[in-house]
Amino acid sequence: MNPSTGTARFRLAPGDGLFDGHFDGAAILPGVAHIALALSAIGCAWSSVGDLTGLRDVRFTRALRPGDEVEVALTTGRLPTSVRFELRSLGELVSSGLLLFSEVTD
Amino acid sequence: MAELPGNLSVVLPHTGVARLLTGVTSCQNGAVRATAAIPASHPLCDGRHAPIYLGLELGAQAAAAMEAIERARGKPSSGAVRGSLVRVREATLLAPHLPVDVPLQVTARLEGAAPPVAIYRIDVAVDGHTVMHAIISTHNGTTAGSGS
Repeated sequence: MNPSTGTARFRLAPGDGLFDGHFDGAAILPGVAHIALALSAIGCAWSSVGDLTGLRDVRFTRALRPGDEVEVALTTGRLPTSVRFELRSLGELVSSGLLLFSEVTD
Repeated sequence: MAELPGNLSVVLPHTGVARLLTGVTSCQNGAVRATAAIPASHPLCDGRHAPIYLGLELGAQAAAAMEAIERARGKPSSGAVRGSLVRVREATLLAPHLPVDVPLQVTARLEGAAPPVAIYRIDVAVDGHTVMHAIISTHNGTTAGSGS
């Protein structure tokens, strides 16, 4: 059974390929990479999860840059197949939203 | 109608593997149609597949291209501007993956704007079949969000 909450921490290595070309001279993490971090955290915290089928009200409020440390906080959404995430860096919210998943089939 | 860009570097600040748009097919009446491809070397790919949510980046790049084309029509010396994806209001993902190194079709239609924020309805298709659609907001500048 999956827990109702989870956390994970990441450090954004300056040489990470996600910064390549985005953008030259002023690298910031693409928005889709915030979602990738949330999914990585879910993969660590949840024992089973279906396919990602939707996103709701995902907000990107602050840019992440090379070297930043990120904490991901997860809570189950109102639907059993949804997970709310928050990404914070130095305690400041950088992005948040709801991820929807398909039912897990055995 | 003004000419469409043959070189995407004039409308997109993304370079290298980060630039996923490959061409702009049309840009008129508040909508842009573009082509895209995700290289197998993209850092979010596993070599054979790309995560379906990467389609959000395709839509954001299409929206950024349209904004740059519209700016150029009003002021020919203008060019690419670093914008930000600030919100995904909703996204529906109809496939688990996007194929890599395969032509993709991307559309972005302007739904509303309160500069510097604009709202777009985006759609990503493979072989004409929609695999992802979403409503996103972008910010025309680098003061907010996460880049597009």
